[in-house]
Amino acid sequence: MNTYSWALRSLRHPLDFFYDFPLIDRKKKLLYAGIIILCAVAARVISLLITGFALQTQAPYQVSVPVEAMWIIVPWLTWSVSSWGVSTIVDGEGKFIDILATSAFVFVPYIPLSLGIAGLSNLMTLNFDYDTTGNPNTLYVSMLVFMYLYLFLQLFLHVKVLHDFEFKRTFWVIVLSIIGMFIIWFVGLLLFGLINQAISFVITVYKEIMFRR
Amino acid sequence: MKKTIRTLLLASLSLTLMLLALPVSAKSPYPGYVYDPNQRTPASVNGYQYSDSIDGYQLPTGPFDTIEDLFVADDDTIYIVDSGNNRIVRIDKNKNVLLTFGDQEGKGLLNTPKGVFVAKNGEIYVADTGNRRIVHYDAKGSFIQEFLKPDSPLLGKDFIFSPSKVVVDKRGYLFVVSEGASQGLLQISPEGRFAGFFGANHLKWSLGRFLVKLIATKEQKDQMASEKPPEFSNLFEDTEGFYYTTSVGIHINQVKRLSTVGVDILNGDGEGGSKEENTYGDYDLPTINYTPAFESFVDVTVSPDGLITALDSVTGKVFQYNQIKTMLFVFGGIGDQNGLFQAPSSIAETQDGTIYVADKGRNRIDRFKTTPFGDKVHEASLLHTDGRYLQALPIWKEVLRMNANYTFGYSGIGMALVKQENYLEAMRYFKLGKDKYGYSDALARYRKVFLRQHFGQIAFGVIGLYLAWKIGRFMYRKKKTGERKLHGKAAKEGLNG
Repeated sequence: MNTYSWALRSLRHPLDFFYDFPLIDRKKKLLYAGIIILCAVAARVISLLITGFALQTQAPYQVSVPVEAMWIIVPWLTWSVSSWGVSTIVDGEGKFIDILATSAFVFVPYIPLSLGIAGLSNLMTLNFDYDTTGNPNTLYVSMLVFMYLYLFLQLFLHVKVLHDFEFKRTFWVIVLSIIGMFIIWFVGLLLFGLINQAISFVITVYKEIMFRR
Repeated sequence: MKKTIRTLLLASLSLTLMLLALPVSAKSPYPGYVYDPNQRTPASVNGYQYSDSIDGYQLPTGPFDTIEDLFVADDDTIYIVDSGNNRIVRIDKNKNVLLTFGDQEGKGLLNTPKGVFVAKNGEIYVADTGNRRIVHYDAKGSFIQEFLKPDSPLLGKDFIFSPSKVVVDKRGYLFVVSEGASQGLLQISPEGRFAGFFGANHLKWSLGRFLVKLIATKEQKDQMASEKPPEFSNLFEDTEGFYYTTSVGIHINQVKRLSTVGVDILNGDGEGGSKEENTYGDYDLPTINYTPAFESFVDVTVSPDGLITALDSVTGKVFQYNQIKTMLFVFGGIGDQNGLFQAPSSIAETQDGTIYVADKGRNRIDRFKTTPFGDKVHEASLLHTDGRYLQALPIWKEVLRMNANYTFGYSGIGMALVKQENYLEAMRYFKLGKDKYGYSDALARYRKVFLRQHFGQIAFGVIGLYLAWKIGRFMYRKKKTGERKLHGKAAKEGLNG
């Protein structure tokens, strides 16, 4: 089975997919997950580029591929780490590599849906019912909401099947994992800031010394 | 021989002088810009150019000291509040002094006045801030009456009457900006009675303040610095009898147009409270000592055509908007060159469109005249706001020829194309003008027309697809069931055999 058929399986029979996929070869697992992530990044960039002018949040020339890639890859990696940490504490069965690989497949519905919604947005207009500044079309917003709900459902099934949890525990693991994600981001930003300060301190000291030499 | 040398010298001297003078008169000390709908600042051609200054040194009045306010009367004469010299100076456009008053002993003696208003009949009202009163003079500058702090329980005990700006309506009611009064404009009747507050600014609801109010005791509340609604800094009466105001201490809706009942009709303040939040002035102010500068709109003037020109004393810039709040031009700034200000305090406009900016730091009044580009934009903008898009079309084209970065021009052409029912081309122009609302409108119309024109094809297409799907599914099932039957037979036979 190739990436495409695995992706199709994750849409048609998500419960079977999340059970079967971790059983395949370790190298193949990572390869397929990587391809899915690349496709998701591509879908995000393309959907931003082709969204109708009226509903655009950024002009095409403002879209930056590295930044948009970050919006997919960083949540994916931090989710994997944080979810692995939480589920291991509460006796989940999944291994880190399985979490990493299957959580990438959570993005599968994102690829066609984001492109489809972006394509359809070219036919949609702003809503002027309530005031003159215009709100995004209700249909457009509800389509986006539907997409994210679908992604969340896939995420839920991914946790549930992979660790063999019951409903309630799955829910709490997800909540805790999301909190964990935020903690990771916070610490990351903190470290970034501190390192930045440290480096600039060293540079300043060096400059001062060179100036007074 | 001597004569020729002298002529040569003179000629060369005048030539150098001419060469020196030329670039100065043709250049602005700053590049022009306007904000596009994405709040970016593409370079633009300047719409106003510094022309000359009115300085007290060249006038029989002697130098000015701290000019606080300017007022242009209907006959285009200019009233200058020369606050430091405690007088009002009236001059005409050609810098002839017509009248000086307020500094003579008597009842009409002023003490740091900050505002002046001239009624239609030529009578003059001065906000005599230092004496905490408003003085009413006749057209010659002789004292008629004074308005002291009105006596009213509504004002409260601690109210300090410190009038800084004044406007008088047709009935003779005074509308007064009192410094530090956050309740709004004071309305004073012709008899000097307090007639209520007018058009107050409101504080936005905030969760933090709500919680504090809920929890804190009375003593704690008294200790805290109470948050007051932003106060008015200036007001201007337009030709239709509406009041334009400027407010300080807020980042949104700093300029308002108050109707006769005190409702802001510029920023869409409807029955259910304002929904629109318009930012006037610069979006990103420079950061000074780690705190971002806070703009401070100190004066506004409105032309008979409805062009709103507001002055921000922090950036020293003058911002001009049309009636639909589109920014047309930005000019001025803080600096020493001509065309920049040290401490701008007031702005006024004469009938011919010349803008006067009082600089109380340099104690002179700078005059700005429109450039050819500015004239074109004004002409097109006026037609545009009147809804005469087709007449504006050729002028917008000329505007864009002079300045291809002017996004408002593209929107204007888009509107004209919508009127011509050329929706696809209109969409293209709205895209160039970064105008999402115009684009959305044109798209909606185009969609409707397209669906109407191609209704037959679309309907048949949908029906055809549906039928094809049904038939295809039917065939597929039939084939499958046939196969299953065959398989079943084969299996049975296999078992039996």
